[in-house]
Amino acid sequence: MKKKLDEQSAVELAKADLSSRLGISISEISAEVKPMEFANSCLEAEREDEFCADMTVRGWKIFLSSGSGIKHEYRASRNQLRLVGYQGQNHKIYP
Amino acid sequence: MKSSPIVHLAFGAVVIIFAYIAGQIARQPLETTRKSSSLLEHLPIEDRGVVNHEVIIKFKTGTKAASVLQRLLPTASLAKHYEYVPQLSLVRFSSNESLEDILERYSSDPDIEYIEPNYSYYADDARIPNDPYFNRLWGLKNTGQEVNGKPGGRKGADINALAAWEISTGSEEIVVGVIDTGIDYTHPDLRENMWVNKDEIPHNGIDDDGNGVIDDIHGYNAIDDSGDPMDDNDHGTHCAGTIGAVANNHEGVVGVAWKVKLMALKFLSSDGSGKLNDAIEAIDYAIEMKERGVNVRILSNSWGGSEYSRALHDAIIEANKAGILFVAAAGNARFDTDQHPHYPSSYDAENVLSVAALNNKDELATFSNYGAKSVDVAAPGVDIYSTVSGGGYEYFSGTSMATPHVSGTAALMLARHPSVSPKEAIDRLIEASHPLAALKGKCVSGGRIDAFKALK
Repeated sequence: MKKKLDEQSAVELAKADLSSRLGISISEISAEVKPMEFANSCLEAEREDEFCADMTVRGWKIFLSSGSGIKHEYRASRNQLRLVGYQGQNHKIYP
Repeated sequence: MKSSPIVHLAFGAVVIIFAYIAGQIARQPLETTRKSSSLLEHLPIEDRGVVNHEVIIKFKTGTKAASVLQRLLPTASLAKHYEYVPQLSLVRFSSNESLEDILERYSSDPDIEYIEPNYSYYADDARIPNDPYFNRLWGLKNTGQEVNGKPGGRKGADINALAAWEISTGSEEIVVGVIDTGIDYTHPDLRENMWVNKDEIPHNGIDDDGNGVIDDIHGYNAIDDSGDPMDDNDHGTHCAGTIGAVANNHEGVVGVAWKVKLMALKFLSSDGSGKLNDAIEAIDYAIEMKERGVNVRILSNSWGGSEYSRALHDAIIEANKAGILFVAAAGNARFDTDQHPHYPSSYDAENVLSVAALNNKDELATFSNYGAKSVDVAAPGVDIYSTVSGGGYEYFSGTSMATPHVSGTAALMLARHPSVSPKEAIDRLIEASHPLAALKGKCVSGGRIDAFKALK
């Protein structure tokens, strides 16, 4: 069984992912978190050709900003973390 | 035969109800037949069991029941006169006559004060299972109870399960495939109702039945092509509990179908997402097992996406050819699926039954998709309490949760009417739905699923 996420661990994972993608330090990234209820198990961020369970899921929208001023949106629940609309696509980050 | 205390209680309840009705009649003499009609509106015939070919008639003062009956219904017989309720009789009529026709024709006759069906009353307690969380299952019995810490809903806004269980609690001959995240087949409230592949020897590492899957005892895992469909999410276990959690085991909850066999078909991963090829493999497994003699009659699908796939469509059509009903969630995007399809629920196939979600006030759930042509029925889907992995229970919401209410109802119906085809099953479920103002123009039936009516 994969480790369950909470708000803090989801933000840490998201920051680590963005740091790696942009090649910047985690300390340069700031986070803003908004509790959400998503309409499906893919956190309404399904990837192409992906099917999702049709249940509502509590989680968080995590907006990360770096020095460039561009905001990157992640979505998380206790089961997963997704990056929304990065380079035109949704990405599953965890698990 | 010695009567049990329950029988005495039930009899007492019936007597009290009749005494109450008689009291109402005595206190409120119905002056016109219009009042008789309004009484029927409060006790709608479709919501109550009725005794076949019987009516209760109150004849006007000064008339003779026998002669009035001879004039109106010569083939009928006076079964009983009530000694202390003047002019009240129980009348038995021929099986060639329709109850609706008789009520319509004679309610305005000048010699009849009123005419009613001979309703069947039950002491509800006799049908309530002993599962301790039954009161949380508003979708099965809505008394207006508080649910998940929220205010109560509308009494009677449920699938009429108690009345249905008077007719059938299901059959172990009906296998329901739950295409989902798997099922915790060790859950104490599910394991007794799990399908068991009798042609496979557990844990011997051999494909005993030669179906290409090793040790597939309770179903199939399409993700790793194994025989272990253990749930690593909760969603599938939750859906399975609503369909067929074990009844009267003093444990947790109860399913719509008390007697049923649940086949776990895992294709959604631990995060609740899945791939097209795995969905097709799960359907393919169910069809193969059906052809091998396992009575898979229903596939319950609480998942979906927006992309059309010809291959998935074809797989569902093959399931129809195998006589398998395909119940599918309408989706949670608040869309009109006539305009924005949600698959698999929007596939044009005879065996696909698309399900929207209702809250406990008989309102369309705020998240639910709908569609006058592409969604068939609605069922309870908000704050639904059911089994989760590890032996627990939780509240979940979604058209995912509405779907197993319908799959369970279909399982009851197929237990009672085993020869109906998937298309006939869908027609029956639609026709048997309870019309709701909130669903007018929102789905084909315009109503909430009604298990009791579906079984008649």
